[in-house]
Amino acid sequence: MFKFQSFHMYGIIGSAVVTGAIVIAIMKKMNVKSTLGTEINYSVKKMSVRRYLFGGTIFGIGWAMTGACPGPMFVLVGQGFGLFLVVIASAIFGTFLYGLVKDKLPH
Amino acid sequence: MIELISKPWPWYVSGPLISLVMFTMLILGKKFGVSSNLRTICSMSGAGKFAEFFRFEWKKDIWNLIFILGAMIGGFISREFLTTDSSVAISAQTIADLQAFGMSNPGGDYIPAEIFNWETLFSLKGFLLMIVGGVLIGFGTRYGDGCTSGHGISGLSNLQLPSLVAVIGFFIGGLIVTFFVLPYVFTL
Repeated sequence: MFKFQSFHMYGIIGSAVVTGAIVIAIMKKMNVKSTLGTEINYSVKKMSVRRYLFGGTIFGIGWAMTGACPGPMFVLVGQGFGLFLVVIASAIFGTFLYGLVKDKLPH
Repeated sequence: MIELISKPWPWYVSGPLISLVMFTMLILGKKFGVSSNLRTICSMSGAGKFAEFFRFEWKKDIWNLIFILGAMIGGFISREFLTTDSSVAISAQTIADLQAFGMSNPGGDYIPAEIFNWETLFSLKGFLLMIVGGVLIGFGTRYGDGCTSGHGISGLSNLQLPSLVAVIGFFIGGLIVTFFVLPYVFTL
C-alpha cells in the first residue's frame, strides 16, 4: 500500500468512505434515530492540527512497522497468529505511556 | 457458493461491508472505532492508579470490547472455514522488492513468517518491528484520538476535518517508515 504498488487497500478504504459518506448523509437527512430511540452520535471532533497530525503520524509509523492497525491486530490473533498478542500488549503499553505523559504534549 | 466466498473478496465488496459495519454500530447507538479499546483495557487493568486519563467509566465501553472479540472470532472463522489458499495477491513489483531484502516467499501468507516469528521477536529487528511498532500504535492512536476505523472510515465518512488531518498523519508516518526505515530494518 505505502509503495503505491497495489490499488487494493485504496479500493477498500475509498469505497468504504464513499458508501459511508452517502449512508451518513441519508441518515442525517432522514433524521434517523438509533434502535434505542436516541440521537445518533456521529462523533464530532474539535479541530486541532497538532494533536491529529502528531498522533496520526506516530500511529502511521507503528502501522507501517507492524503491518497492522488496531482492528487487524485482533483479527490476526483470531486467525492463529498468536505472535500478534505481543503487538497488542505493546500497543496497550503504548496507550498507557500516552496516559502518563499526555499533559506534557501539544494538543 | 462456499468456493466463491473462499477466495479473497474484492475491494468493492470489502469496502462497502466495512461501511455496513459502521452503519450497524451507529444505528445501535454506538460508533465504529477500535483503538479506544486500548484505553479501556488499560483502565480495566488498573491504570487509573497512575494517570487521570484512565479514570473514567470504562464499563460503558464494554460493547466495544465485545466488538473486538467478534473481530477475533471473525478472523478464526475466515481462516478455518473460508481460506483455501492464504497467499496474498501483492503486486509483482512488491514481491521483487521484498525478495531483494532476502524474503523467500513474499505474499505466501498474510504475515511474512520470516520476519514475524517468535525467534525474531528476541532480535533487534523483531523488537523494533513488533514491540516498538506496537507501542507507537498504542501511543499514536490515543494521542490522535483514533485509528483507521475511527478516523479513516468513521471520521472521513462524517466529513470531519480533524480525521482528514489524522489520515494525512497516518500516511506521513507510513511513507517515512516504508521508504526510509523498513529498508534498513529488514537488513538487521
